[in-house]
Amino acid sequence: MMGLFLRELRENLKWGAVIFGILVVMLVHEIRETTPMFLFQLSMEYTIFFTPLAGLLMGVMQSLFETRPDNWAFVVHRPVDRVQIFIAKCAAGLLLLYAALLVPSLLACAWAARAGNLAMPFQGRMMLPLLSDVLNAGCYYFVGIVLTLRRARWLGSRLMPLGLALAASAAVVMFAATFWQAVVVMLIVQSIGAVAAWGVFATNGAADEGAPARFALGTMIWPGAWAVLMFISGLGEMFYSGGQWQYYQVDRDGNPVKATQTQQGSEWSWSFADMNGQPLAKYQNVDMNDPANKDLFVRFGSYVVNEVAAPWPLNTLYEGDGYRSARPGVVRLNNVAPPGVRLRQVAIYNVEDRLIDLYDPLTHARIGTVGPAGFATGESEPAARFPETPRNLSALNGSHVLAFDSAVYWIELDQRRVLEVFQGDENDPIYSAAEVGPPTDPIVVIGAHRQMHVLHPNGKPIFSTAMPVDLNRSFAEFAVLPTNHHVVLDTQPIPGRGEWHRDIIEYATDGTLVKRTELPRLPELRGPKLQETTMFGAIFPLGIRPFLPTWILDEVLDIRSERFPFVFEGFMIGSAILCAGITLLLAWRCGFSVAKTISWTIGNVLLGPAGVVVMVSVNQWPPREVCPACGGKRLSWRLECSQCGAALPQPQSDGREIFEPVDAFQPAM
Amino acid sequence: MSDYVIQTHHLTRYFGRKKVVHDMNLAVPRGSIFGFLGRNGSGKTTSLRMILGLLRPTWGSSTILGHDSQNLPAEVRARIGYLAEGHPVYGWMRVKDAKAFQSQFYPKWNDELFDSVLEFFRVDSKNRAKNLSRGERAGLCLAMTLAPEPDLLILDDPAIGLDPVARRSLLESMVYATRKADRTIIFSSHLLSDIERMADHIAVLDYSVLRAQCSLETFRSCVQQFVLTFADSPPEMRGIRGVIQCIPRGNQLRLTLVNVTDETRNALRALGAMGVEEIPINLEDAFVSYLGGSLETVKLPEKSEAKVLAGGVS
Repeated sequence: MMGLFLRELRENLKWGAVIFGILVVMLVHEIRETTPMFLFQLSMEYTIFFTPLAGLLMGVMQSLFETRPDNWAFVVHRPVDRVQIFIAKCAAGLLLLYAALLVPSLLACAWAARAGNLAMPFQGRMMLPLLSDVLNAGCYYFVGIVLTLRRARWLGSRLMPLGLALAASAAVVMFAATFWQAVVVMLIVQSIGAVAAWGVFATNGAADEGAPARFALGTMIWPGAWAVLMFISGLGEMFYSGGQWQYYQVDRDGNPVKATQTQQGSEWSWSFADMNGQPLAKYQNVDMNDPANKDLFVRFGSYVVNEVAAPWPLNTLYEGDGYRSARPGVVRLNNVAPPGVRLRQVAIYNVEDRLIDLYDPLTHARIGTVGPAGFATGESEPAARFPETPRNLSALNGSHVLAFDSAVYWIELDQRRVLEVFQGDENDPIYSAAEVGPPTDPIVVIGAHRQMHVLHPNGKPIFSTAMPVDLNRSFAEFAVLPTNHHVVLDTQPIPGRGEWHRDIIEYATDGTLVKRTELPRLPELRGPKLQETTMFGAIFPLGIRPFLPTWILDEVLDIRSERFPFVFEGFMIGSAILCAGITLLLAWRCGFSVAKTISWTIGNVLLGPAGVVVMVSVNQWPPREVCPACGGKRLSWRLECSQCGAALPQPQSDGREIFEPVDAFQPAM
Repeated sequence: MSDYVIQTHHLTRYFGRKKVVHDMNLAVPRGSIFGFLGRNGSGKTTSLRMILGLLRPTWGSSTILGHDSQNLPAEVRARIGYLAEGHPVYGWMRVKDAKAFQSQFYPKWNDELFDSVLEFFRVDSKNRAKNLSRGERAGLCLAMTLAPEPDLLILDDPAIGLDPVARRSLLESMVYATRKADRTIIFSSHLLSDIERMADHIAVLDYSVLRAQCSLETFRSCVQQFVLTFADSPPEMRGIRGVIQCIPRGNQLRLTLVNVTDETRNALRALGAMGVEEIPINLEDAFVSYLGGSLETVKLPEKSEAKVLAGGVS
């Protein structure tokens, strides 16, 4: 086996070198950019796309020789188990692939870790996105083998095994919260890919032997089939040249307004009505695309929420909680000096060190740190560190406010200091805080468990009042009305944390509740949404539905199952029944056994139309021919006619046969 | 020990709708040189692959060296030399590297034999395989197949693409290989001259069906050619069993028949010919008539005197 391994290694060294070379070029290019977020940028801009391509390249090029049956026969006709040949092949391919990707990646990490190269502290977790990308290449490596060797139509199911690898990529990039979750996902997918690739290799592309290999191949094909069906169902949108949407706005006096936006071809128009549906004449013919109208309505921006309450996968998708995000380790502070003051240093909030690091943007040397006790030069130990992890990490990069459980600080890095503007009560810990209002006259809003505090950046209180919403279940966006400086909240539920509600709440500057308006849910108007939901329902697998909460379907997949429940669920169930019918028909047509028919039928009821595609892809479809005995159609691949039981007719003699009795053969000596 | 190195039982293989091998029952005697004949697409390569366990039959079974083809242990595979069609080699390898690589799998690897075959084909061991000529490449493949000293050699169209000299060299090497008494060689070919020179037994596949399995002499003796001369234009040929080709030419009919019996001769006489003359037929003509006659009609211009009838067998 070592000989086979070394041969594969030698044969494919050139592809490893190509991958290595390309990655080094990318690395050098990114180094020249000298962005502080170097390792994250390298992943997001290059390796996240390149490593899958590298995996595919290695898998495809390593298998090309065996696409010819004669070459394959030459490879496998050796006194070695076929599985050993396959293992040697994959071991060499993966070793080359990982070495070609890992060496430059580790060099990049080493470069980033060296003091003075980046205006950024180095943390071990910064290597994780790169390592994850490298590991992800292995998923595509096996896909490459399967795509190359498997005999199927390119425009049929041949490309579909890519589906599982793409799904795995989406999972590890967008949904995995920790590196180890991503590793587990990738190892599972690689194991499935390896089994499927073995099935394809062992049968010279027929992929018709061994239940585990066929199961693995089906598992690879199913997400691809689903993606193709999703794409086809999305084509319906092409027939819509326009649409109509409704949403809420708050005018400069704090009154909610219903806005209706209409698109006809490339033309856009808006109409506005009050909460009773009466058209508002003052907004007639307003073009919201006109920059002159940008302040026609109040612009909410800053929000307060208990960030740790965001459920998975929203926390990884939108809150930057995943291992691929810099945020849990470092946050670049972009807005930490008064308007007009240019900060001549790069400011990084270092979550691990609980300090603000200041770097020289030219030399990349650390100037010093800023903590609660003020500035400390260079590498000297600061007098104090911040208490714990900030509660407003997701909004920190554009805010002067630094919120902790026990205190809130206003950052003034032009002065190299932070001001403690609020101290929390032990009995009413702080959830979060935000900077609200215009940059020239901002206020600080602090959301605690029970109280909401509004104050000036110097810590002078404006008012405190009871927190109108539970920040574990809702988030509140804030704005300051330009006409009377009232504070307005737009509160909505955190998806997955509570029933839908929406309120606009207005407070006067002394904390008096001016009004609270409950906003009803707006209906879907004209547009492709209903059709999309219908199509989603028709292709959505019934078996997955119980495991996916409705809010994930709606907020993450944008299916609107809650908006059109009967349409979505109805089409899903109808589709499952149809799939069962098609499966039974196909199983009967192809002479499946009873057990196999039942298994596929149950499977396709649960897996939906994509399951039918898998069934068609991984099974051999026997032709039928006329049975000479009964005249009916019999399966050509069966020895006996399924209708009359007659044995397969032997080849008819045509009088030319020349057969000597076998005994007549005498060995030639 | 069985007298047959290969036995197949109702071996059948479909590719989609196409039946490539149909109910093949074959027995290859130990020590024979077995020619596997058939036109392109007749199922020769598919049969050999099923026998070698490289392809699973749709149904039926086969044994090779007494083992089920589909479960060949590594030790048995080491006793089978297989030269796949097209002479596959790793192009980037030097000849000496190919030798070093291949030899590690075979306990009975014969370096001298390898070198002598290479010498015979004048292959420079420092060359890369991709730079070899077709003949040299065939030589390298043959050397790699022979050097393990297999008990059974299976050569799938070994002479394909070779010039006459290289082909002759290859065949001579094969003869060299048969010096071991109980070694069996099976080779497929389209080239009748090769079969005639080498084989002592043949099997003929026609459109996926095994039509003949016999010694070469038996095949030669079973296919006969007659010229029938008539006073007028020849009558239509109907009802005579064994006719595989019928070519009218003026008042003559040239008939090729298989398995001629007394009954056949009587039927020929009954046609009323002025003369019935048996003429000698070489193996190539016999084979072409045997397979070609039933396969197609050569459509000639109407004015042409010669008219080839689709023979088939009446």
